[in-house]
Amino acid sequence: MIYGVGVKNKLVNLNSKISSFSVDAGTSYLRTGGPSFKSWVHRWLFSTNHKDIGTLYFIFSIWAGLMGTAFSVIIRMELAMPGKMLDDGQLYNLVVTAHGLVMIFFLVMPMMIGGFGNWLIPLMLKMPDMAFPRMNNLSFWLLPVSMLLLLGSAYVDGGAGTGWTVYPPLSSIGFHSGCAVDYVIFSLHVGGVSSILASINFVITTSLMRTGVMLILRSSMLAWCLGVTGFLLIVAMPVLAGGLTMLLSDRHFNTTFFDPMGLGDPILFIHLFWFFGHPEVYILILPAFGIISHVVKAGSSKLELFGKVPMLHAVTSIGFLGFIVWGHHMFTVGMNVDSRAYFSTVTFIIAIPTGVKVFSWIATLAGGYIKNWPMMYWAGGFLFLFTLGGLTGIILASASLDVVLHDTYYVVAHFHYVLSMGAVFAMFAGFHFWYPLLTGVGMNPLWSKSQFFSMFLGVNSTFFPQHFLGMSGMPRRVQDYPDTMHGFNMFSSWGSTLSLVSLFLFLFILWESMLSKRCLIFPMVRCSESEWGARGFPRKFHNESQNPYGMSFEGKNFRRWGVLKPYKAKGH
Amino acid sequence: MGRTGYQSLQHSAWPFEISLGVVGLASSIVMLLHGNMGIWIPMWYDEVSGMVIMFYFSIFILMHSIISWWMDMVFEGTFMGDYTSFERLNIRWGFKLFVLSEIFFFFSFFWAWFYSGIGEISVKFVGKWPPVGVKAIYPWRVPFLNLLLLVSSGMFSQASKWAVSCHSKELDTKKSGHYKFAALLSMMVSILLGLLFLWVQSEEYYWCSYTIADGVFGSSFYMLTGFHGMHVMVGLGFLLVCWFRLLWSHFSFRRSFLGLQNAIYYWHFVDVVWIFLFIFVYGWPHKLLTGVWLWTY
Repeated sequence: MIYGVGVKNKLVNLNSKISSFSVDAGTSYLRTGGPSFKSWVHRWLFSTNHKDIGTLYFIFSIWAGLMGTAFSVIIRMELAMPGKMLDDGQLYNLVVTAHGLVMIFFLVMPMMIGGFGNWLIPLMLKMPDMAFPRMNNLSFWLLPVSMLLLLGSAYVDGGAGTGWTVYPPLSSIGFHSGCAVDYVIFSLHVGGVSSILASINFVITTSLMRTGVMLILRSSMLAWCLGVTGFLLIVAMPVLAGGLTMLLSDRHFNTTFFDPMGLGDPILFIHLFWFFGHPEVYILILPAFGIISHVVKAGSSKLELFGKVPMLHAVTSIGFLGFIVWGHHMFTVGMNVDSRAYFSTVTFIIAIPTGVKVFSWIATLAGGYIKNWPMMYWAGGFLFLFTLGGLTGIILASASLDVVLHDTYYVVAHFHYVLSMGAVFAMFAGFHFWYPLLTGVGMNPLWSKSQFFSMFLGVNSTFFPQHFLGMSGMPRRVQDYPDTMHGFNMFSSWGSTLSLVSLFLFLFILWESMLSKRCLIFPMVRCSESEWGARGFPRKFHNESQNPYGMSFEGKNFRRWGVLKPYKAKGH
Repeated sequence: MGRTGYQSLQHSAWPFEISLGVVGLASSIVMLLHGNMGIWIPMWYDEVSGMVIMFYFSIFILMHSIISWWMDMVFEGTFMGDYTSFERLNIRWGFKLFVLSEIFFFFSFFWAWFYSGIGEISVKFVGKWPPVGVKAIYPWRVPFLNLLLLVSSGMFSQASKWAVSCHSKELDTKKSGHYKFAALLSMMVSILLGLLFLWVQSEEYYWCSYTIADGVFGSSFYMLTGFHGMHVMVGLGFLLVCWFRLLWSHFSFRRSFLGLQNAIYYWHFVDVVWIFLFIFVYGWPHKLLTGVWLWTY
């Protein structure tokens, strides 16, 4: 991208940049005659604008990501040396639980779906806003509530040391008799409502709000991925809500869903949880696939993604298959051998559409002019490391192998490769790609590339040794381990310190970009990146005031090439 | 919003207010569940738990914001005409997706019911469902009555939708007033049948020989039928609001009766859940379909 010179030597009032954008925020100033507390409240608390709400999601998720990282650093500090650092085992379990819940529900989901989704979907579909702008705001504001309840749980009655999976009987009233687990249950309920409402918004926007020429197979990859993600959320999240409601009633209302004394069964909770849990992990990764598709296409200077339609079908099949594989999280609970065989088989099948996607990305890169932008480093890292994580997933998909590796650090290594290096790298790639669109300024590319290498080294050092630890039998969620496992644990903890420092570097780069204000002049992307087709960045408050009108050579008349058939746009 | 065909929505305080209500509700419920924790506020007669006050206040905040939001939607749709056909399509399908999420909420409780009934703990061919000592309710008396009540209620609500559709198409003729009356009447019958369902079901709850504490059978039975009852109450509320809007001619113009359509869709969903409940929760423990497709003993 081509940027202006920026401000070198003096700290200019940042507000002068932001307020030129917010003058366009319009009516709240008209009523109050200028910026005031009331107009601020109207703009940021009562917003119905997809860009503002997307910005709120970004700020929230970055903050939560820092908090989740802090929890992970505490875990690695505990595990760096044999013996106990924290006196209290319950505190360690609480930190492990909080790390998982915060990273999943307050970093990855809000940033991908709320941040990137809200900002980009209306721009990519060329629509004025999301389908339900007010409900969009509700989905955002329920998240700080959910986070408050989760963090609050840590301060009362010893906290919830159950792991993010909250299995009974550890989470039942007998073993966690205080109110901490109840706060976690309500936090997940509120977060679930937020996600369901946001997904309704996304599914409606991506499937129904398309102008006439925008056939559904022509929608952008990110729009499609977020639509499928939304559908997964609508179907899976209520099952978690049901399971949590049963847990709550077991704790307080004398029901015995999970208590064998009343003919209940804790395995029921495991089934319900993972029926939600497996689609949940696809919810975490599908938006990443969408982001990477955009980044790889733009970064290879290509007009179109390789095999766009097969990619769309691959996303849909991954989404559908994700509902029928939940048993691979439960291979050691005592399931029937035939059930285990079935779940192994279907889990292997998911590798096929995923492979289609990885090969298509590589084919998109092939023959293109690869831009030397920071986003491409992150995308390249994603392709390699996500594939590695997927391969360890194939190992775990085999029920026989999983019986040995379940609840060991091998599983931890697997999902951190696909999450911490899959989802997080995709988020970084998308952030570096679209940051100038959001703010109109650019981050220093040289520093960004070095931050990539530092983070790459850090996360790989953290998680690669954990494969060996898992293979030698180190269990998950333990505060101490046999002395022989010290070496790999120490190396892993060093890696996490490096990741932490890389994160500080990223924050510095972000801060410096805002004060230097190198304004974006030319995006230098090809015309098929529709979100970049505007005359100034950051984008204005409102989008275009009429829908695009297009003509197409194909669609209903696709057999008769060359027939020019104008499509009437929706509206006029 | 210019010529896009979509609504240009101004600032709205209701989402923020809902989130405030939710946080108050969640915290007060948790503290109330743990034996009325929290501050005690002295009153002239005794003391009042601060959490009870916070609970009722949060309910008030939530009711205020939710009702204001829906009132805003009525103003925007009916009075200001903001809802174009595109917007109405979105709202209709968005509501259907919401009903889909509700269907999967019930799916989880049905899972618990089947898992407990045919799963490992009840040990097929050895154990009993309902467990020994629990007397299942005979399905062909009260539950069947409830089935008839809800199905007929659904039919009357559908009839009122047809009447409204005819009414808004023939506004300038004399027949339109008759259609409106028919719509009001059939909707009222539908609501009354729904209220009757609730009354019968509450009597059933009162006289039932087992409680929610009676093992996993009681737990899943009351969770399923209890959540169903809550959804009936919400659905009835929606239908009642639609009845008043019908009375005030909100659905008479522009051939648009979105609120009514959504309410009836929700009511049909509630009806279908009851059909499933009748077959699998009342019928199956009483060997409704013996030996045909479920494992029975």
